[in-house]
Amino acid sequence: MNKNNKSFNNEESVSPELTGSVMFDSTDWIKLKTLQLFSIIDSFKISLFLDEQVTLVIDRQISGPFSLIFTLQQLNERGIHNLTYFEDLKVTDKTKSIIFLCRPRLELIQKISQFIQQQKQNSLKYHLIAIPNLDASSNYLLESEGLLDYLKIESYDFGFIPYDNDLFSMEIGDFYSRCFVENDNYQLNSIGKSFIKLQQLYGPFKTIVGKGSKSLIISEHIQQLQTLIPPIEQSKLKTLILIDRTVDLIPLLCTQQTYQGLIDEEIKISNSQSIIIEKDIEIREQVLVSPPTQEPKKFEERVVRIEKEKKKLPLSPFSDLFYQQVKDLSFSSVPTMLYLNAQSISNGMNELKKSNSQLLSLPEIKKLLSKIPDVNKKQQLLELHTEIVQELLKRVNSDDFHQKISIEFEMLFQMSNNFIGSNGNTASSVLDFIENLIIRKKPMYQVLRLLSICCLTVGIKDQKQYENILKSFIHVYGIQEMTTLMRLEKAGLLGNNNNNNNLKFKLSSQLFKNFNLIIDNNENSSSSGKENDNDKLKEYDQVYQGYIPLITRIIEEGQKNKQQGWFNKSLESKLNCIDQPFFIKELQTTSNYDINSFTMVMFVGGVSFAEISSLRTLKKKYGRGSGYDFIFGTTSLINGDNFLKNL
Amino acid sequence: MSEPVNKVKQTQQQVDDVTNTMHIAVGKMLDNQQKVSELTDKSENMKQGAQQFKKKTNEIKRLMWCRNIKLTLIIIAVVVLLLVVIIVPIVLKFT
Repeated sequence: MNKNNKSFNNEESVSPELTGSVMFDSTDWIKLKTLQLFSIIDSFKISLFLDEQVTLVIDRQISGPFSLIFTLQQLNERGIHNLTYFEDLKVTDKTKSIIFLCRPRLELIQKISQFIQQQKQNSLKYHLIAIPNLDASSNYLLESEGLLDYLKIESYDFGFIPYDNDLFSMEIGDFYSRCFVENDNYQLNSIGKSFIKLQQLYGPFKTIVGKGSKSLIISEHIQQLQTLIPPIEQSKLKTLILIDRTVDLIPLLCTQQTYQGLIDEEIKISNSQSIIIEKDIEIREQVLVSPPTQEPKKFEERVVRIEKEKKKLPLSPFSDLFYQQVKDLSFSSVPTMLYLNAQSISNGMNELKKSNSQLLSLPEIKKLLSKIPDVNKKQQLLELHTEIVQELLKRVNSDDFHQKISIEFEMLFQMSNNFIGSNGNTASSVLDFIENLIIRKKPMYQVLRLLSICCLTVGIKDQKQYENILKSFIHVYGIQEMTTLMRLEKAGLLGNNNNNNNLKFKLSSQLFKNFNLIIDNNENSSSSGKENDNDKLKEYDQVYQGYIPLITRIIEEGQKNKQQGWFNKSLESKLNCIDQPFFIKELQTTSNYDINSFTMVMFVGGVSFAEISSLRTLKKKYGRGSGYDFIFGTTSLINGDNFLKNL
Repeated sequence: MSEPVNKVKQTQQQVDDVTNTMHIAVGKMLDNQQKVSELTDKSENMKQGAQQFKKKTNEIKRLMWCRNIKLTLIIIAVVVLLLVVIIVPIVLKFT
């Protein structure tokens, strides 16, 4: 239990690369969120005497984001001494009050009502904190059970949870399926409210730019509530860019190739704090071997059995300097960085050794001893990342992985070079590969991702071909996955070319040409000489190995023109290829803005780590103060697999 | 007169002993460098593994480029053939 609620260390560490930049300070935001929850708890009038203890029951889904904001010590100061999950509901003798903290899901509300029914003879106080607030069905269920008298209900909005120095996430896991597929605009309210709170703390936005219908609704919410913001002299936020997920689904479904993205893809980062690696451990025992001849007895080591051990590794973007440097690079550059860092640590050790042999007096030894912990800490971090990179290399060096990336890039490359008749060739080779994956029973979501990319880019023109793929899919993965295919078709990710209604998010090749989404690296590929290590590190645009996401190109072109800015007509005409509303709104503010004001990019519907990395490379490319100092907001951090699962 | 000198000498000797002890301890501590050299070797090996990650994309580009060139050449050949079929009878007719 304590591991899940470990303390959150928010000290910003200074690395040489980031010395000159202005880091966005998220500690104020955390303090605000902490005070909000504690004011709710204080309103319960809980006695702080030691003999009265409070138990906090947390939804397991939100225990991760919860631990990013609150620490156990803070909870103890407020009288909360016990933390438990809904699965482990029990009462100690000293418990006087119980606080339920959960998103209002029906199964949890039922558990709460059953628990209160059982414990009626005990005179306990019950409180429910609903995130973001109690919806109608949960309220109806509690009312029908007759529990509204026992239960005091409050609402609390997590809002934005800081995952990195420049990354906030609301962690609404089912946002896309509710808002975009089922067209339920209920959750857009909490997004608007979160932006108002953010502006109350850091200052108002000057401009709101957006693409997409849901972004338009959010901007209208923000405009309505703008009067709640007090006048602030100096604002840190200048521009808000709202982009719907449906504008471009391709980079989400493609395989992420940055270091952080690959970790999330293959190993799964949980709440940006830790990862779990399964290792095969060979247990060796000495076995007494007695051969038929009467030779002396020998001992042999044999592999008796193989056990899997789960190892938890800390992976903190706040305190890990190496991870900060490396997480946005393409994975092919990471071993080079590891090697360079290992060399620098080795040189540091050598210097310490030399100075050790020349020491004469105690003060000098004291100075030397103070240097050793820093080197040891760096060494531990490097060992950690070496282990992670080794684990990733096992999976990355398989043939299937290479072929998957080849197929993805082939589909994308085809979009920007539309030759006569070769569309069919690419589609047939892609479908052959997908058929091959299905026959070998590869993970289902891998197949679905490739199929979705194929439908959204090149397209499947032959109806029979498409139906054959679906038949073999259902045949291999089971008839129960029919609902998965139907949901994907409803969401617009799968479908035939002839059905224009279904594939509403299909990108046109004109769009690829307008924004130059595929980089032509003829210069690089034609050079026969060996590439230097430094040249690889300079290729910051290669987050997807030659493909730049559309969102990155839109933002790059919008922020590039300092005077015209987003009012550029050519940009607007280019964006007309996407059949979704585009809007620019100027807000009435009295605040001052300077070169250090940040631009906030909000992804409505989720974002993957690699897309954030491709936007961070814009900052490295153009430098600080030219409009590319980004803060990222999103409804949830996702990758292709859990995006399809949540549909 | 001789007692203060002896005390100072004793203290100096103690300080020297402590210095030597710390000297040796720090030396042992720094001998953990083997780990770092192991890390260096590991990361050097991993460099080669990650190279493949990148080469693949360049190969795809060449492949696609060759395919497109091939297709263009086929189209040009067909067009030229059609022109030849049309022009040659005309030329033969007038000779």
